[in-house]
Amino acid sequence: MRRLALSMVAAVLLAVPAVAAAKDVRYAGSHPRTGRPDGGFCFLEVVHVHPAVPVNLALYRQVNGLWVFVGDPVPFGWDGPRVRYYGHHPVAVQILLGSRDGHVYCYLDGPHWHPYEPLHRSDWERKDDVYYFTGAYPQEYERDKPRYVAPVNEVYRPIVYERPVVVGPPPPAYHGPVLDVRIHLPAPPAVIIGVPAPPPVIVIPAPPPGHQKKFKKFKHKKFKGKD
Amino acid sequence: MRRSLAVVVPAAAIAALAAAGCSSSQESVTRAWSDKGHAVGELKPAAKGLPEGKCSAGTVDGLDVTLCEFGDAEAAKNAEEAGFDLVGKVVGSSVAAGKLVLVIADTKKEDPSGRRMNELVKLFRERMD
Repeated sequence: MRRLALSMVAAVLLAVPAVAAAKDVRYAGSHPRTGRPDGGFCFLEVVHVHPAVPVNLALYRQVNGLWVFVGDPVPFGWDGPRVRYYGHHPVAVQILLGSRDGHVYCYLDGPHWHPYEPLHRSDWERKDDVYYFTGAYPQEYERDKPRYVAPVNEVYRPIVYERPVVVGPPPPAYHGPVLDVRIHLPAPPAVIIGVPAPPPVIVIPAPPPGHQKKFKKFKHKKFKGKD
Repeated sequence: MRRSLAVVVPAAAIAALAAAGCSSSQESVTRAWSDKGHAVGELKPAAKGLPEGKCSAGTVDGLDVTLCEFGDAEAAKNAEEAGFDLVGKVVGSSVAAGKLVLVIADTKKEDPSGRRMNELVKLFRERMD
């Protein structure tokens, strides 16, 4: 009886994801196909459906029932335009959906890419071709920050890919999080710590037999005949 | 020879559309696809279409495509939502532009990156908007 009850519970638990997967899942804009960099990218820009929810939910926001990707698309296979950003910033929903539904926030630390330019340029400073958000972070950014910062950056931390190179400190008007910019500079040339070379070994070949005889000739007379 | 085939195939597709009772708007869209080198198959009256729409269905680049025409742009926009039901449990989309709704579905997983679907949708919108 107990076994039957357990198997029924297991059957119900297994059925839940199946039911969840049965409903189509709507995305707006392009996005990684899976959560892995080698999983490819979906380039379909209009609202479209997939049979599954996103893998890395922290990289998406839900706007009007649509999953919208707000991460850096480059490590997932994006090969379109690249715009350089630094630190946390808003993304106008107008860019993503074409509708005036406010903003969502990107919580990626340090330098990263997006495929679009910022919308309201007065709140931004562009330094060395990198965009820094210099406006005020609103309450909703602060509210969602604990929820997103760690999960978002944990997704990207192990991925090796070409991040934008930032060579100086952020402009003073930027007051978002700052990473040690040096970590994104190209690695200095490797220094090889050498082990001292062993002293040269000079091999002197033994003189041919004929030469030995020749030297005998010059032996001191007191050693002569003592070989 | 190759060139003549390239002309004949879209012409055949357009003729088939006309024979199937396709509107000039639908023909205009399929011509836009053909002109950009997409393989447009024969579009026939759709077995499963959208309510109150005049629908033709076929394949383009191996993707399932349904084009439905409505009385006006508002009716097309209202029918867009029902288009997602036609997509089913695969990757696809339903897009209204002008009096038409395009329902596109990758049933055979021919386009995992969605690039082809994206281009077909863009051409559809450019032609209709």
